[in-house]
Amino acid sequence: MGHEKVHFDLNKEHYRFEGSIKTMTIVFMALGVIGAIWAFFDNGGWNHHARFWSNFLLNSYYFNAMALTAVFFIAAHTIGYGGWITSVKRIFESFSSFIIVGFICFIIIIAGLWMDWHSLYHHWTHAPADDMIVGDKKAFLNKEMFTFLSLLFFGGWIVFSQWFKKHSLASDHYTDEIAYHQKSKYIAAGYIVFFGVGTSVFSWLAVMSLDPHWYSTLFGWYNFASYMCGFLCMTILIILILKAKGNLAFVNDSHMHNIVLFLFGFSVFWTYLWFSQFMLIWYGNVPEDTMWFFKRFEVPMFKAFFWIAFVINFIFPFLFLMKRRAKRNPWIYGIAAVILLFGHYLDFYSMVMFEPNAEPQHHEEVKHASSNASLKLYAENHSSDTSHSTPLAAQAAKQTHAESAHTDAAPTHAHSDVAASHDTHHKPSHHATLGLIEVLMFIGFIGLFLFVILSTLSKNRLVPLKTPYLEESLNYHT
Amino acid sequence: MSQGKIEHKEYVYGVYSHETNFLDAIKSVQADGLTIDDAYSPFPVHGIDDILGVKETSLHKAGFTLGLTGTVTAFGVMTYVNTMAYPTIFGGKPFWSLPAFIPVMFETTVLMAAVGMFFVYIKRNELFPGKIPMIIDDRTTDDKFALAFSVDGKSADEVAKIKSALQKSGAEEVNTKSFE
Repeated sequence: MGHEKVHFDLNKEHYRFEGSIKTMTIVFMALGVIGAIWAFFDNGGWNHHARFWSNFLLNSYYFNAMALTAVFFIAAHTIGYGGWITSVKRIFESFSSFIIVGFICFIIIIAGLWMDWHSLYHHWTHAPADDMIVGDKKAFLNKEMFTFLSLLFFGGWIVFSQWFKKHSLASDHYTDEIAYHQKSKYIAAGYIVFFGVGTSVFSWLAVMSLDPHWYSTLFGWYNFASYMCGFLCMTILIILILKAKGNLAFVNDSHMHNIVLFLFGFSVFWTYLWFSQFMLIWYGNVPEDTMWFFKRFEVPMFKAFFWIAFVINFIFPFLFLMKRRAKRNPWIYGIAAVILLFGHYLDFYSMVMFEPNAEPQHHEEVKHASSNASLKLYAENHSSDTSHSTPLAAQAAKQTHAESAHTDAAPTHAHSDVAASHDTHHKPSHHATLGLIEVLMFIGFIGLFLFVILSTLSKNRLVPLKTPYLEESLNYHT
Repeated sequence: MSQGKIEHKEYVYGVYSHETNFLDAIKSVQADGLTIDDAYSPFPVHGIDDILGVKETSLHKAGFTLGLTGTVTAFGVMTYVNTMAYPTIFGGKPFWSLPAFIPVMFETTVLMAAVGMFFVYIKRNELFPGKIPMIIDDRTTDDKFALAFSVDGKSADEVAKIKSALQKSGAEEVNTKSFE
């Protein structure tokens, strides 16, 4: 079983990106382009191509995050003396090429922000003057800051990831491999800090700010759990593609066991954060916070996705990947990887797609029906603050007091307080769907991702020959 | 590395001082048609489970069952306490509010699974305090490996066959040991 010698020649480990796989990625990309064009002209009767832009943001964010996490994975194993990773390290390194593609995608989004091509962030770019919640966040949520921080983070991520890639590729010719290895520990530690802060803040900017009235301190961390799962699914699929072509004979069951074990573990971790974010908001019952879930639960599709994500991302991998045999059977973990890749897409879908595809609300004409309740509470909390003691604040505070007296008498379910607190409440209509366009654009990004990664892999040997951990990794057995 | 209870008293064992010789020796005596009763090693040897044909542990089944017991227990207790025994309003929530129970259910699951598996492991491997372990040769706790064969009720011919198989497999010493 585990002890039969597998014969391979490390010097000949080159992947050739050609044939049916290459055709497949190109077909996927073509489908994605068709989906994008279709989405662009499918306006649903209203402006600013919301369906295209929200899909574009969702997919660039998700796939870029996978690439970032791959570099994090290398960095974490570098400082943690993780030797087993060496046999699949080149795959993780090749992921870093996609960060540049992700950067291009976000440049388009940033350009759109300045040129007014899209309305993704219109809640804070076109906030009304009396919207105090957004007003207080102005120092962070403005176009200049968005641009500056995005460029800063992407710049850092690209510099770090290219450093890893460049030196790993060059290390086959180094005379003092150990010195490089020692240095890489410091770089890796730096990247982990930069990655942690960067992805967290970037998730606030790119996704959480879609609803600037809401915030969750767990958001970045919660996103990270999804990044990790998506990235591990992608890794599994790429390893299976390479193995199907006869490469990577030295990647044995124990390596796969570790990768699938990480997927299993991070699925549980994702659930922990998925639940923690919900439960703290549910328990705290602050209208400002609950609104985010409340408005999603009003739309049957998003309510269903909330639970479907839980089933796909937790119950399924928990039961399906628990056994040792499941972690060593390519069919089982391959199927799990495909399903979980989609499961975490659904998770991001409900984060990203809601606000951009909600009924457009022009602040000058229609007041934010959804934010009225939270605005009142906010006004009450800040009414003692002199800078905010506007007539509106005073009035809103008075109103909230009257209402809170009423609600205290009869404790009801969390959300009904909010629903009852404004008269103009009506169910907003939604244009968000999970239709063919979404599927095509998702497939298009999968094609793009695979194309970038596989063509990067085909340029170099699939295993670093002079890494000190190579022997350890090739003989890895659990 | 001790697997199963040792019920026999009289043993013949071969001593080896290298991991790879040890693995080869196991294959060698198995090729001679002998069934190994026990293998002793100072540290876990990679791949030895497959060669010895040791069954996969069922400790995880115990863990799953115990964990599930914890989940159900916590759920039952929380439900009973909050709806029947002492219903109290916390933060305007309904008496029976599942999200608030989940942390307790989670913790109890972990506690029951971890503590329960600890005791199952201790019981199954007979490692509880006061137990005098049956070590065939004290040197197997330091730097030697040993393969043990029970010779209770075996004829002199069979014992001789075991001894010669052990010699053939490269054992440094072939000894006998009896436990009271």
